[in-house]
Amino acid sequence: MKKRYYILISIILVLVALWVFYFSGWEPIFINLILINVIAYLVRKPLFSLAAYVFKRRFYRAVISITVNAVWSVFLLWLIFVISAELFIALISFMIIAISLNFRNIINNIASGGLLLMSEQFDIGDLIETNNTQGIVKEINLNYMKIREFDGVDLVLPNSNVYSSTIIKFTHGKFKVFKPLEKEEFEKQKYYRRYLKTINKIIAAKIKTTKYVKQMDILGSVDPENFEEHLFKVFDKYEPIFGKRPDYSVDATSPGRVRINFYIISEKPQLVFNYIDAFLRDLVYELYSDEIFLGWEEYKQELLHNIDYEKKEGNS
Amino acid sequence: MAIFRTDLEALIYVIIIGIGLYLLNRIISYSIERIKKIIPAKKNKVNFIIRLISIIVFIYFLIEGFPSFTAIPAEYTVIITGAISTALAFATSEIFSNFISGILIWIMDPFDIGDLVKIKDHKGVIKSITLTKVIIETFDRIIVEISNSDILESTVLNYTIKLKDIENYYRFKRQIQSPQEIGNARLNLDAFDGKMGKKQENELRALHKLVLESKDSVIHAFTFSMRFPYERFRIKVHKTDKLCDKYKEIFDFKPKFHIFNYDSDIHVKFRILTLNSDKLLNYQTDFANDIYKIIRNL
Repeated sequence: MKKRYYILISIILVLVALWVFYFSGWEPIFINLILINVIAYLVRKPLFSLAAYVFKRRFYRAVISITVNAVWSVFLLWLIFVISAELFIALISFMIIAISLNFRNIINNIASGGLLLMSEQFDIGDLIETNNTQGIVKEINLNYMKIREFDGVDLVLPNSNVYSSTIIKFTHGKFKVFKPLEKEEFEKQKYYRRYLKTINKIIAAKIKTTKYVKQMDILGSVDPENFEEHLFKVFDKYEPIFGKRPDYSVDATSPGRVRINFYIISEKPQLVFNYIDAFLRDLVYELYSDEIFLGWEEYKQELLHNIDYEKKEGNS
Repeated sequence: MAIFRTDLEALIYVIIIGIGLYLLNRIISYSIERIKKIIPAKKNKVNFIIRLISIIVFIYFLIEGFPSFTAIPAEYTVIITGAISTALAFATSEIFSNFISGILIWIMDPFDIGDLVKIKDHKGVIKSITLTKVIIETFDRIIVEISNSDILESTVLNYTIKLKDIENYYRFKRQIQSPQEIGNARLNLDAFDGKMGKKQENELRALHKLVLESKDSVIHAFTFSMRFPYERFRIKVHKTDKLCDKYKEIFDFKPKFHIFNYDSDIHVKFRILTLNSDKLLNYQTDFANDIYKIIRNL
C-alpha cells in the first residue's frame, strides 16, 4: 500500500477509535475489541519494519509476520462474533472449506514423499532421471526432492511431480553372487547358526551398480573401419576410473549419421557424475581429431612466435 | 427486524435501489471518463471500488429488507448460511490456493531474494517473494511475476550455492567445484601442465578470499550452453579460454567450459561463478555474444 493511503487510513481509524471510546456509548466489550483491532492494525507495519531491520533471514521475518497476523486475526474474528454470530459462523465455515480445498496440494506432496521414502524406489546418492532431468538424488523430504544435475546445479522438485512421473533408475541394486561354502569350510565352522548368519549376510549384501546410458549421434565423416579402434582407446583409459569397462551398441542409423548408445558402468554413481564429460571430450577428440585439430599446429607455432617476439621486444 | 414493513414494499424498494445504483454507477463512470486530469489507472480503481460498494449495498437491502427472511427459523438460517458459505468457498478456492502455496514455499524455502533461478523457462534473479507471487528479473530485463501455485507445481532450478563453513578453504572448494572440474573435463587438456594447475588453484584461493571479505556466504553458479562446429574446434577453445581470462575481471572468477553433448555440432556448457547476481544480468549476454563471435569468425 502506498504510504499516503496508509497514513490516511490510520488517521481515519484513530478518529473512529476516539469517537467509539468517548461518544458511542456501546457495550464495553465491543469498544475494547474495536480499540484492540485499531491498535493491532497501526502497530503491525512498524513491527514488520523493525523485524526486517533486526533479522536478516527471511525465515525469522516470516515467523514474526505470521504470528502478528494470526494474533490480529483472532481479535478481528472476535469482533465479528460480537457484531453478529451468524456472520462469524458463515465466515468460519467459508474459510475452513476454502483453505482445506487447497490443502490437497500439500497433503498430496506429503503423501507422495511418504510413498517415495517407503517404497525405496531410490536412495540418496542414486543417479536417476525424472521430469526430463538427470542427476544424483541429494535429499528426499516430505514436501520436495533435491536433485543435483550434471553441471552441479541443484534442482527442487515437488514430490507429487516425481511420484506421478516416469523415473529412470541408472543406479539399481543387485545381489552380489557369493561362492557357496566348500564342504571342508562348512565343517570347519561347525555351528549351523554361524552358517545361517553367513547366508543372511549374503542376502543382505545388496550391491548397487550404476549403468548410465548416453545416446550420441556420430557423423558419417568418422571412418567406420577404425571406429571401434578409436572407441577402445578411450574405453581402455576409463576402465580403471569407472572400475568397469565402458561399452557401446548401435541404436539406429539415419542418412549421414549413426546413433550410438554408450554404457558407462560403475559401482559409484559419483564417478559417472564426475567423469562423464571428460569421457565425452576424449571420445570426440579421438573420433574427430582431424576436424578438431585442423590448423592447430600452425596456430600454436604462430602463438609461440608471437610470445618470443614480445619477449624480445620487452628485452630491447 | 426488517427494514421494510411488507415483502411487496421491500421488493419494490429493492428494484428501485437496484436501478438507482446502476444508474449512479453509469453517471459516475461517465463523469470520471470526462475528467482528463485523472489518469486511466486511477479511473479504473475508482470505478471498481464504486461497483463493489454498490453490490454490497444491494446485497444488504436484499437480505435485510424482506420481513419474511427474519421469520425463517434459526436452524434453517444456519443451513442456508452454511450452504452459501460452502458454495462461495468452492467458487473462490483458487484465490486461496496462492496463499497456501505461499506458505508451503516458505516452508520448503527453495530460494531467497537475490538468488539466480530458473522457474517455468524464466531464468533470472529473484527480486521479491510475497505470500501470493514471486517476482523475477530476467536476463532480458523483463519483470516476470509467477504465482505461488504455479511455482509449487513446477521444477525450480537454483543456481545459487549457499556456502557453509566458508572459513575452511577445502570445504569451500568442495562446495563450489563442479563435477567437471573434479573429473578434469577441461578442453585444453593437451596444453595443461603443472603451471596451469597451480594458476587454477591460485584463482580458487583468490575467490575464497573475496568470499571471506564480502562476508556473504552465497555464490552464484550460472550455466548456459553454446554450439561449436567441429572444424578448428581446438583453436576456438584456445580463443574462448582467452576470452574467459578477460571476463574473469568482471565475474570475480574465470568462467569454465566443457563438452556435454555432440551431434552435428559440439555442445559446450559454460559455467560462471560470481558473488553478485546483478553482474550476470549485466554481462552474461555480452559474454555469450563474444563467444558467438569466436564461433563465427573462423
